[in-house]
Amino acid sequence: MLLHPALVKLFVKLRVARVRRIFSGRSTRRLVMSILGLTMMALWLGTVALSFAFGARTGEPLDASWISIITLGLLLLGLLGNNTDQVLAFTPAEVDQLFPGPFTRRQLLAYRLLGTLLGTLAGGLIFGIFLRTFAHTYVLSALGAFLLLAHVNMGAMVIALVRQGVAARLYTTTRKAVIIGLLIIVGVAAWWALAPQAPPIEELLAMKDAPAVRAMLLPLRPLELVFGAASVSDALIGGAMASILPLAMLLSVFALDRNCEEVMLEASRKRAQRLERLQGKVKLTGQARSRRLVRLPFLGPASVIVGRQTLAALRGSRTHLLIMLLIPAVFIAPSLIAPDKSEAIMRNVFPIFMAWGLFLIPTLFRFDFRAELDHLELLKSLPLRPFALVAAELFTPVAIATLLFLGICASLPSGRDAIQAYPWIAPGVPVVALLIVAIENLSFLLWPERQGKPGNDAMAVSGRRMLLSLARFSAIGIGAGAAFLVALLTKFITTSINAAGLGGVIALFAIDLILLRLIVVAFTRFDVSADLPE
Amino acid sequence: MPDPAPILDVRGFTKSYHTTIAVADLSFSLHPGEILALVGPNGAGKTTTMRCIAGVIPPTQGQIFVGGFDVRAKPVDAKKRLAYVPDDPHLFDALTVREHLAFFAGAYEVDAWEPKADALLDRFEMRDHADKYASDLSRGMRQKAAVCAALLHNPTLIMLDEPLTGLDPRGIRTMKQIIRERANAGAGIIISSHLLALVEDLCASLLILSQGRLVFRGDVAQARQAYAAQSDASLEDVFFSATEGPAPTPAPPTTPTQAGAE
Repeated sequence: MLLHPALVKLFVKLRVARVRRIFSGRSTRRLVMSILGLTMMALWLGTVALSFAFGARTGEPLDASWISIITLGLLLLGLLGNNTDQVLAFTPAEVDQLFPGPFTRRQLLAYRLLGTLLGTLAGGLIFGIFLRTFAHTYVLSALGAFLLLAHVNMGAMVIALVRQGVAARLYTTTRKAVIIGLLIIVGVAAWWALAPQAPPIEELLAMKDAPAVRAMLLPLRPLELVFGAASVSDALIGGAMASILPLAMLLSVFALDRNCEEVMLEASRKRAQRLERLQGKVKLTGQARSRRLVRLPFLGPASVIVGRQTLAALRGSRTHLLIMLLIPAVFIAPSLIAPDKSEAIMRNVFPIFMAWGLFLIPTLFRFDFRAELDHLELLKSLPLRPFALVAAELFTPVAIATLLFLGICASLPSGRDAIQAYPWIAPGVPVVALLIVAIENLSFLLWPERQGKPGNDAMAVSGRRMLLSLARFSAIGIGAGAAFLVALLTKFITTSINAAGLGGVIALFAIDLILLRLIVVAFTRFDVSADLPE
Repeated sequence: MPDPAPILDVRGFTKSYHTTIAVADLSFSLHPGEILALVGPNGAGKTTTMRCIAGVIPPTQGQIFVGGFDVRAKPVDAKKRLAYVPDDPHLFDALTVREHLAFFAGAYEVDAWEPKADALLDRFEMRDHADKYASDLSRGMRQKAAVCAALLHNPTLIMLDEPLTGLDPRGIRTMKQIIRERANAGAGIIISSHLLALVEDLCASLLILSQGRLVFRGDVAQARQAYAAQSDASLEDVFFSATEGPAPTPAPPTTPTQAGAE
């Protein structure tokens, strides 16, 4: 039996449990957020779906021949990303419980395919909204999107199995060829777009209709028939034709299943590792020279937390640190290469990038409570005063953001001028960074969640995230607005811009202190036996 | 001679979640040198009790004093005197074992911690692994590292949740020796474990919880007297009789046994 009854039962029960979980939060606060999040997602998706799917259409659908190019692009992206095996990944619980169980590898494969089928169906319904512009009706675009995703997912499975079992070397060679081919295409496109003597861009786009390109895309062209169908019979014929390739690939998956257990286990391991990385866990191996932890006297014994977070930042987030170093490089490079032009550019672009970066950096460097979910029990057992502990936890991301921004300012002539002219900018940077980091941490302690947790109540989680982002931005806006009002009032009284700036910074610092106090309360009240997300 | 002041004094402690009562009206005390086994079926409230004593979660009702300090009113003073090693200790992945010890030494303000840390690492045969990242340690090594970190500040109350999990035979022997040494030196020790052989081997006194309620508090001999027909009955028999059997005949008033389970 290809589908083992126990596996089918498990499959259904797990999906039912996901829905049930939304309404069975252990705390009322979490339950309310889940329901609000779900409502928000439903409203958002509903509005988009209604306007895209059933709204009055103006003009003809877009050229459906783009569909086969999009499909090919997605297939190639999978090949490039080296992550095609993720369609065969199981959760850690499934690996532990099902692989030693009395199931054949084909039954495990079929169980996984059931999940893929359900995901493809759901993806088709959502993706169909966005591909609506290529079809006459939403039903056609949803059907087409489902078949498009079936091509992509089945293709990914075949690639993963071929790679592991039949021809690893062939896979590597093909991948290299595809990368070189894509680089050539990107190079030609860049030349076409930038070179003055190049023909108009429309000529490049028209190449998609060249006989050679059409021939290459022939296996994917039935998808165009579905999107471009003008009648039900056209859609049925197109759908039947577009199903042939995914079905053939499905049969290939079962024909290639000799090594599928290894592929599934490896894919599951990779997925588990990725999730751990997302949750802030770092897998460091081997020996290291043990270092003394940075001590900051004003934080007392809590300063060891700063030392620990700094070490974690240095060791566990090299990519983030690289990005951090690249950002100032991007700012400084134009002033080194073309000093005359860069100043004019910087005057216009610099403030926008600074504001954007000031929001980005604290959200990128999560070396605070957001990386402490599994350590909250330990932190709460330490003999540290809560205010000092909270201040120490927030210190590292604020320090990173401050150093980065003041470093960029100091390295640019316009930045140096600004700091000299407006002395409140220097103390203002850490105060603003603290505001953002504090709001992020307060929201995390009130509604904690594990990053990248797969599958479970995905809609409610996405909605909750949207809601929290909105709340965070509103809180930042309110804080900044209050400080601006104080600055305005100071300006009105003193007529000095610097006094106004200083007034704004002091007001913002007062808000920071209130937020720190709220975080202390949230941390103290955080109950590790009830509030920790699964 | 009058009893010395208790290291731990739990009075009317209750912990509830909405309508679920995890622990109800628990009162007991622990004296210097006493090794107390906290036993009970899964979900009896053992970990909740230890977490509340450690100040990790607040009690719903009642008071907990560690070294005379109320855990809620004077948390820092209370926590400085205790060590709590949970069932599955989470270490900081990006730190080495020695950096963990430096972290705890800083947090507990331990002066000249390095010789003490080295001695503990030697006892647990962890010296060679001192510069390894925590994420690279096996389950047993993580347990050893967590115990080393917990003992560094010489706590007077030590709480260990399933302390032998993952340890090799040498590690188990060392752990037992250290528990006895610390008790002989005057520390009060609470061990929560389902390994009744360990309890029988190490602990002179017993606290049995079932469904969040205190079933028994006294020494092992009194437990046998209360719950088993024969005086040489195993602790396993006592445990099942206490947690699943009919209510016992009332035991005489209990006085916690002092150090030296040996």
